[in-house]
Amino acid sequence: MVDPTVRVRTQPDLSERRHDLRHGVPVPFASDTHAGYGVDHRREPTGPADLGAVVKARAIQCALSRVCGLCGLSMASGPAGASTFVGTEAEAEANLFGFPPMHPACADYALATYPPLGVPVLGQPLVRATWAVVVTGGFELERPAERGAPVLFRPNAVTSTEVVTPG
Amino acid sequence: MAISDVKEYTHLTPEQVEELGRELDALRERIEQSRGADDAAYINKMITIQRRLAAAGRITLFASKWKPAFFAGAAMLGVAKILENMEIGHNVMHGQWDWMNDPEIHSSNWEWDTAQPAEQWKHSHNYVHHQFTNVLGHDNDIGYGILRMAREQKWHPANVGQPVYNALLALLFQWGVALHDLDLEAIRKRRKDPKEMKRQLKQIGRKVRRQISKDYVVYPLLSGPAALSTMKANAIANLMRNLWSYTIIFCGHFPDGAMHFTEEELEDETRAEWYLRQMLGSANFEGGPLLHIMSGNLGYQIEHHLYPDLPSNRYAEISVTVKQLCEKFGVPYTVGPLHKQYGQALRTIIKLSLPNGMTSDDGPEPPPERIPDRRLTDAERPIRRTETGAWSTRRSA
Repeated sequence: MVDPTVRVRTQPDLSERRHDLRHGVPVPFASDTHAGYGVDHRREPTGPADLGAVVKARAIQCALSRVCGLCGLSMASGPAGASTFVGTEAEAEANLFGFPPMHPACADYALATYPPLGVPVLGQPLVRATWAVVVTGGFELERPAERGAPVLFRPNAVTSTEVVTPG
Repeated sequence: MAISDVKEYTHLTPEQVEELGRELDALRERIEQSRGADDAAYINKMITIQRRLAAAGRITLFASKWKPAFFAGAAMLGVAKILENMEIGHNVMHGQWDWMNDPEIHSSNWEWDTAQPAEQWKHSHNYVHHQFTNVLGHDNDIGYGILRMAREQKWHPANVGQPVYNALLALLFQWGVALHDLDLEAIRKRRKDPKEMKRQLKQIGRKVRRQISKDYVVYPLLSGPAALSTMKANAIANLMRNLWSYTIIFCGHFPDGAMHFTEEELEDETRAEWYLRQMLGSANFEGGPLLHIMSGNLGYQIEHHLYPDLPSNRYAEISVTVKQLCEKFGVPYTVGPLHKQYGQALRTIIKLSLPNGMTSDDGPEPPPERIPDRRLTDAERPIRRTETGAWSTRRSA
């Protein structure tokens, strides 16, 4: 087991993200129903957010525009071939994730920041104690086969998989 | 049911739409399972050919004061730029080769030989165009904000000049594309976030400086006494690329048969409905393998829109099954020779420069929905289904 708090080497750029007032943490790009590309986030109201939600439009944007699910910036600003998925062990086993890929540094930050809040986070409906971290060169976007179903991501060039217990 | 209006054209029941979706899923899985060394060899070969052509062109232009070298160098460089933009850059940035885990041939890292920064292309093209294909008010590729390409778009007296705008767009295509993600209309109406605009403009400025210094300063200076002729040849190479990429791109969604959609509800369409919208909104053109390679395999526009992240060298193979599925389900598969497809797009441009009342419309009546008279920002795109929606469809012109 790895303590993710020691893995945060680079602080991600979260200056454009709104803050959740209840927990005092940035709202992940993929979970934020507010504003979007081309809108000044600083002028948007802050307030409580559903940190466990994945907004479908945002998830699709992450997949197609190749932007990070946490910071919302281009994956080009991170190392190529290092899209990092964070989810449950079951998701890793099924090779299907609900939360969009992140920069490695953003994934480190997310694991160090959100699970200790004790609320559902990062696309999970329940509070999770252990998390799977999968690094991949690429992924496929799985559009929902049924109305109302979530968008999913399928890594297709996995280079590492590990299980971590944050906090 | 979101596909209800499309049914008017396809006569498909919801169950048939889902069955079509399952068949297209199976086709995707088959290609993913067989993706491997041959595909990797293909893209590596393309990149090698492109780089050798570019190098040969640049070296030949050192002697560009001699007319045959001038034309040969410009032609080689033009073809290299076309290959880089169409078959390599466009497809790499879609993530078609990310599965190789090659840090260079990767959607995160590839920066192409044109004025638009890759990051902005991945937003305006990969996301906005591919997600909202041919949806009026969403898809910025419908006329690029310059041309009126659907009868549902409100006519303005300025549209009379659109044959001229079209010619200018073709000649200056890379510069038009460079500004594509900025949304000039939003800037003009002061709706654009100034911080975001500044960030994008800085990014474009850096890229433009790099492109201009490469083609009009560094290589001409390296040519010594042939500097001026090298500069001219480089301009010709860029012009070749502009005209070619413009032509290919306009053949993808504007020939007769490619439908436009009005949006009531986008968010909750199923994968099968999304497949169907991509098929109905795109048009292919026919040609030999060389034409398809030079077109970035966008002659298989339907297949590209169904599977934008599958390797482009497999589209020909995929098209066989897609065509069979279209026949089986009675879905239109729009295809024709390149000159015919472009001719139809050009006719639409000319026809729609005039008000609807002055031109004939062979298609059915326009849908009643209100068409947004400006581009929507990502924040304004629907994020949740609130009511049962419907697609409305229209053919071009």
